[in-house]
Amino acid sequence: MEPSDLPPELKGLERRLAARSRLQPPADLRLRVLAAMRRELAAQPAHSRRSWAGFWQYSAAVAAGILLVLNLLMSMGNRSDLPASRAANGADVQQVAAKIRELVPFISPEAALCEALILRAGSHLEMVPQLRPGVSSLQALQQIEEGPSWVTR
Amino acid sequence: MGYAMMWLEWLAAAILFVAVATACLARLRRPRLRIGLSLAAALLPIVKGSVIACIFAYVAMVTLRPWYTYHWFLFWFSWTACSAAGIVLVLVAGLRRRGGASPGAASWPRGKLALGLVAVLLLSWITFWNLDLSIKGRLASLRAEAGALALSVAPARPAESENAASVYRQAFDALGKGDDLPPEFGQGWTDWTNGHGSTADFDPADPKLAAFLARSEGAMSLLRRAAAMPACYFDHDYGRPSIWMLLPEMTDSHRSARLLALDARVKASQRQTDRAMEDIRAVFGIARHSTASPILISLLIAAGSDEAGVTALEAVLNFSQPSAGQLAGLDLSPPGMLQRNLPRALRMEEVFGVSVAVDIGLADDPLALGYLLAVTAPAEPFVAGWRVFLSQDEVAAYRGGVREYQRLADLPYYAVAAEWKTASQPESICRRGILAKALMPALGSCAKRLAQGDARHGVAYVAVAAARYRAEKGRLPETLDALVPEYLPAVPRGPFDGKPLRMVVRDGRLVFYSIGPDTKDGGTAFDEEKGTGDITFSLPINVAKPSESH
Amino acid sequence: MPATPDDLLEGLAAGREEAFAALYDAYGARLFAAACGMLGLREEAEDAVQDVFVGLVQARVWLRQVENLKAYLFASLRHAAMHRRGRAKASQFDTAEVAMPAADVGPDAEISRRLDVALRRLPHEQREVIALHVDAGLTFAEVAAVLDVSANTAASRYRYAMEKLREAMKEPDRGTV
Repeated sequence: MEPSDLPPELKGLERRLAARSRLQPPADLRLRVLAAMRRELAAQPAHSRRSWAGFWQYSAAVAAGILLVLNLLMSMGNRSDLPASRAANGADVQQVAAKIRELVPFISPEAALCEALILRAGSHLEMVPQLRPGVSSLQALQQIEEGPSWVTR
Repeated sequence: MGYAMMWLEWLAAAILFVAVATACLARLRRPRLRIGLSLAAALLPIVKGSVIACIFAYVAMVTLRPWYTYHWFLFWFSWTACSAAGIVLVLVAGLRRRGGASPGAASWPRGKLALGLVAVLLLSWITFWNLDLSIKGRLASLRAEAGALALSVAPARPAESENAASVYRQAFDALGKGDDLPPEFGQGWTDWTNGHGSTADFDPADPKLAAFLARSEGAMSLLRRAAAMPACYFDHDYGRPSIWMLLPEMTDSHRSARLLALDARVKASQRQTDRAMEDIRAVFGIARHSTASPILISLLIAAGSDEAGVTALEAVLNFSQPSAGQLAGLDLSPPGMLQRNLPRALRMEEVFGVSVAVDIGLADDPLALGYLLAVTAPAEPFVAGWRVFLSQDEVAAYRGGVREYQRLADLPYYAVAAEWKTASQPESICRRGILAKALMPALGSCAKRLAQGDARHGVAYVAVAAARYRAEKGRLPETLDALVPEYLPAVPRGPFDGKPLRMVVRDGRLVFYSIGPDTKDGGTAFDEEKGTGDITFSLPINVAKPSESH
Repeated sequence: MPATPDDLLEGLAAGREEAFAALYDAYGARLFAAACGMLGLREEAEDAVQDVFVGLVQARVWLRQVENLKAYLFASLRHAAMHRRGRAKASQFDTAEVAMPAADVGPDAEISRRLDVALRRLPHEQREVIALHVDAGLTFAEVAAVLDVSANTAASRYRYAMEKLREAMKEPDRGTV
């Protein structure tokens, strides 16, 4: 409906409504309103919210900038080209586990599956010569040579 | 630090996303549609955070940890809670009317908010990428560390003249697949090679058995020669051992030991004591060579071979009385061989387990991850998520578990028997994480089995010394101390109580025994399944004159 | 030179008193007329207008983002009127009369009185549309912005209000109720 599409009698009614005397605000209303506004203005805190909003906006922008720089620095320090490893061999884990149980009957099925799963991974190791064996390796070798303490008196 | 940054960035992204959505929807005329769509947008990050928190709660429950203490659950729960609080504030501020025609969000700068959202998303992606790269680098270096550890526990390569590997290969080739067995021996032979039954199940006088053994004599001769050599080193890449490299050897050495044990019994029944003793010496030699491989399965197979040798030896010594020279030629190694090699095998276990973890983390082995999580073909984002959030804790927990095993293996069994049991409980393994649950076998029973093997070998060792004493002095020793130092450097100690092995006369036999896993000196026969009774080796007291060699 | 809405907003946001005074001079009378139409009570209408301007001072830091100042003011008035209506007794607005100027006497004054009575009997959503369009002189587009509805909805609501008003005017005069 278009705003102007009122039937004639409604238009007449509209004219009568508009013809009513419009009430004018009393003369003192202006003074009262301005005084109330003045009081409200005086009651506001010294620094406006706008300055607070501006401060937080600035802080957020600085924090975002710092995060971005930190991230870029971290990414510059990271190597992206890692050596590709060989593909896993196609051993069927269940078959290997079954074979392990044949060879070692007292091993549980779960343990056999564990062993079958991890034995597949051996082919992916990277050979790195150990220039100096770790302390734990030396200790282990020592213990192997000495043997368990309960064998000899 | 990286995780804290990621937490903050994703929090900012969630709140900014809702702010942008609210600002865009604030211009809708219909209040219900505006509020409904704003709530829908607000729910997206909250639902995402809740789902991820639930996933980590499930991971915690599967690994038997209190979900409310699991740090990744707390990470995502706190993120969800803070996001929800921030989103509620944004919705209240944005949808409330400030005495104006439109809700507050209508006056928000949509462009700046959207730009901020894009910037935060970019930041969070960079942070995730950096974390992921860093972890991939650590995994790659972990693989190198594992390779170095593998090489450090690999056996030393002996001189070719002392290396029995090539002789073994000839023997294995000569043995073939065992498909020339008479059919009636098929199941019995299978049971015997699988560790069931005993040589007593075979009739030594059976001509078909004798014919089979005669056909295998060539292979057995090679086996005896190989087993007598000082060392055995198969030319494997011990830096990268694989199951296909090891399985054929393990199978063949397992079968060879049992074939020789069976031949020893048959020869002893035919009074061919020399040949029987040679066979038994070869069985122990095969067991000794198997322990050189730093693989746990090889060690367990060695235990089985050693047990076959001890059983055959007891049968031979009860059937005949070998001379002092024949007994001296047995060259039985001192007891404790199996437990001595367990720590090295467990170090190799750590190497393999770490390698699997690296394969999973670098997405080189989706099959392993599938086994780990009982799914097939997990998607790359899932693998990336596992890598960034779980891999470090999981690998550390797995290594901690295997090192606990290594610590226990370095100590005498009797001192840590209860700790072995505790460490092998499914709950203990579960608590170490999903990786440990999949890759850490319960080794308590294996450790006990190896201790039993050492106990059995120990009593055989003492019995052989006593048999030598009798062969030279014409009588059995009255105490085990009488064997020291001429026949024994010292009386070996039992692995289950740490006390010297014992000797007792029972039912006309001289019984050498070790306390069993139940640590009770009950005087009963050992029951493998129940783990009760004593581990024994007996010799007849009244014997014939020493047999002559054939 | 009269201040533009942007200048006024700038002055309001900065808290300058002359901007507030200029704003009252520009919109005060129409706001009061609309408030009388919505509330029907002079005192309540005066207080509602005062609430609008005090609210402006409280929200002045966000005023720079207001796109339509006139719609903003009349929407504030509408909310202030709803707030006052919610607090007061329901009968107070339905039965009391608005004091009429002395010049309004004769048949026209009688029609005006009957119109006022009929207006007070309308639902407040229809009454406020009439107050905004007729008393405050806003266009239907401006009324739609104030009410947060479409222009067609505003026009439809106005037409229904007028039809209801016409029916009420056909009834015998029941005076004040």
